[in-house]
Amino acid sequence: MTLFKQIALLLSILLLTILTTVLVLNFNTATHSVQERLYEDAKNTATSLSLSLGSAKGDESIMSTMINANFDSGHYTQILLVNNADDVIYVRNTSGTLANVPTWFSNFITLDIPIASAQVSSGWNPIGILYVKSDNSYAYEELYMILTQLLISFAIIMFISLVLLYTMLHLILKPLVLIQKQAEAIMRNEFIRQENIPHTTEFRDVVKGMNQMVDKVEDIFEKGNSAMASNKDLLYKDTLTSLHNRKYMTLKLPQLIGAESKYNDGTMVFIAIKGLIELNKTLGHQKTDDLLKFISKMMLDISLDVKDSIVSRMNGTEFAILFPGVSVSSKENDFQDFYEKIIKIKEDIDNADDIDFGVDIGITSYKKNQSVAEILSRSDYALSLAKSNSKIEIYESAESKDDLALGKETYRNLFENALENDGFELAFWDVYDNKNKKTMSKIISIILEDENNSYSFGQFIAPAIELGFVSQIYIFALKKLFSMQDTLEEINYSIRLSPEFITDKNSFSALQELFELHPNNVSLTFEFPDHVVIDNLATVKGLAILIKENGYNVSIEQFAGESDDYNYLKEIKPTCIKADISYLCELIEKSAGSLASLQVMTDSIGVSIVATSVKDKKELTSLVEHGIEIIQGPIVEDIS
Amino acid sequence: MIKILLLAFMYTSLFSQLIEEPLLKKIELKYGPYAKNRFVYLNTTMEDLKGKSLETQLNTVNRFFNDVRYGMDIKVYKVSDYWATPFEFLSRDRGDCEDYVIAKYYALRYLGIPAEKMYFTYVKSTRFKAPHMVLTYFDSTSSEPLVLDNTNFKIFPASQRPDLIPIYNFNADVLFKSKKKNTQGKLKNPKTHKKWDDLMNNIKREKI
Repeated sequence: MTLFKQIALLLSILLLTILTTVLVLNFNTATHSVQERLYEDAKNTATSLSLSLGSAKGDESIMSTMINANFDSGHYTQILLVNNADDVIYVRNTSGTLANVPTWFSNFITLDIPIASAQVSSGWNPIGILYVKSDNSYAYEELYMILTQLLISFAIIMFISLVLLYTMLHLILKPLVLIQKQAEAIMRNEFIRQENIPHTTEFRDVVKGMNQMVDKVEDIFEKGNSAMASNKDLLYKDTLTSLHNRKYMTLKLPQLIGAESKYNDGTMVFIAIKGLIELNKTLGHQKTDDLLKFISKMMLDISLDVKDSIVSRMNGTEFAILFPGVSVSSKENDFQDFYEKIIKIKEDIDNADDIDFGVDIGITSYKKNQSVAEILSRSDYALSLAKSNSKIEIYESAESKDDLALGKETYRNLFENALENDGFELAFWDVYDNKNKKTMSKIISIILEDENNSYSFGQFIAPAIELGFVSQIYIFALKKLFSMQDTLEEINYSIRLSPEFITDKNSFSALQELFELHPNNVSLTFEFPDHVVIDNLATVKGLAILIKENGYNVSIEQFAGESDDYNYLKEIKPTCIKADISYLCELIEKSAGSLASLQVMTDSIGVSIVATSVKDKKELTSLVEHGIEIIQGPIVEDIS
Repeated sequence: MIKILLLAFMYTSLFSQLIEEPLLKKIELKYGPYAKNRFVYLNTTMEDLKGKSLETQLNTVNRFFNDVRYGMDIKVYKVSDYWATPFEFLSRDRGDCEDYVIAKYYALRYLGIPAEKMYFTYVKSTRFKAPHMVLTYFDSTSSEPLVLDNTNFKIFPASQRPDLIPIYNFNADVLFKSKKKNTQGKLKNPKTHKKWDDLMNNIKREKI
């Protein structure tokens, strides 16, 4: 029961008790007053009648007549005359009728009608006593009217008091509602400040305290956020040229050329600068470094007009430039210019005639389905040709993988059949909680099966994207999961959403429809790739709200610390972030503080870190030493 | 049981006084030693009267209180009509006809005269041509009463008081007992007479 209800109930009972007590006291007073008046009336009658009776000098017939005259003219229940020996001389009785009073009232209220008495004398001698008892029907009628008026008055007072009471309570406790909302938000790791400081001292102190706590958590998050932004530079940037490094290129390549990439092809350029060591000796480090920076700037200029292009320094003398979605021919001239500018630079350098300074450029095109290793290998080959020929070498992909392995129609038929005949199966992989030694959740993987073959997600996602089946496949898989709820374990399940599904405009409505049809009976987490979240924050936020409103959770996977600002974590509010073991190990190796920065930030908003692709115990030990206990990857099968 | 009650009565009579010591001290404090002495004298008189004949008791009590000076309520108590307690009456040494009647009734009750034999009788004094009150003693309700009057030091039978015309007799004790009997013991309102009820309350709290 809320505090408002408790206080309101208590005060209502108190008010009712007070009003009832006052009503009872008032009614009792009125009853007493009516009885007093009845007594006084009877007493007056008794005294005056006794004086009159004295004049009868003991004549009973005269006295009876006098009594009759009085009895008939007034409201009396009884007039009784007794002699000194208490023997009745004369009596008149009547029973009053309570016509205007309900029976329950006369039964409930016992009116003690007082009897007044007076001595009757004849000359000097007392001859008897006269008793007069008033009629109670009049008293009952008056009391009933008083009770009715009292009840109406008190009902009105009660109503007005309750309205005032509830209004006052509502106003007084209004800040408490805001405090409660703030507290609930804090429990959900949402740290909101309350700007309206209540006037009530106790509430004001609580709000100030919570605001301070929120500020501190905010500070902690911001410190982690800044440290992470710095770590990003240390981790992914070449300190001299400010270009990205090999790690960054390795990280991004699968995203940009993998099966789920939005680009179907692209161009990879490998550039090797020769003669740098000799230049160092001739020009000195500073000038050589300046030259290197200048050449880097030239490379960046070439890539400026290509979205998602990456320029990275792979090692001391070699650079790589990735142009997603760009053909070789469209960049060929740029690199020809670049090549010639380098030759010009050599000519401008004093005492460099004997130095073999220059660049070798290997350019290769790639298609979507080629593996990262294959593209890198082909690029290396192109560069080696360029080195041997001392020119720009263009190595077009001989074996074009433009067409899908099975052909579009075959895949279309496969997908259609699978959607129609329940051809998609769900496979589950454990996420292990090493601290509590138990499976924490299960990751869902979608598998396509036909009569003869089984296709993994990685195998069928590219044709699915190309043929526009991704959304249907996800909805199908989710429906299948919901239909399996009776056979599922009491554990959290998580499904990774592909970039194609997330960025598909129809996904929101498809999910909405699915959630409406299937009430939440499964503990399910939807995983969003980190780079997709960064690039499509508004879309992801919309989906996250929809998912959470329907009782499911959101997490972030492929977290690689590539953002400059992690406030999106507060906006998305994932239950966890999943990061590849290689990234986490990189943080650990770099410095203890690098991982700590991430942990400080995630702890401050109640987000746990899950290490993915953990392969061996050495990696696990390292993670455990640094406080990361939730893992997934090949090792889980060995230890769980 | 009767023996025990008799012993208790004897003990009370032997050792109690009409006006007890604490009240005497209060009277002395408020009205001075002379007032106190009047009550001491009353106590002594009452003790002397114990066991004496009815005639002696009536005469002595009548005479004792008739020594108090007459004073109208408006002058003594600043109200038009007031029934004073015997303590107020003797302390102030002043009072009107009702006060004499009350004091005499109180003293005679102390001496053991039954309540039903004494009445407060409202009379008209033909001598003063004014309403008046006397205490009447009835040997029985049908017998001729004796009149204890503050305007007459001697007690006379009613027939020898032609200057008084009886109007109304009043005895609260009798009314109360009769009323109790006639309501079969369910008497919830013990009130009988306004002035009498006020007087009883004042006597109970020893108003001086």
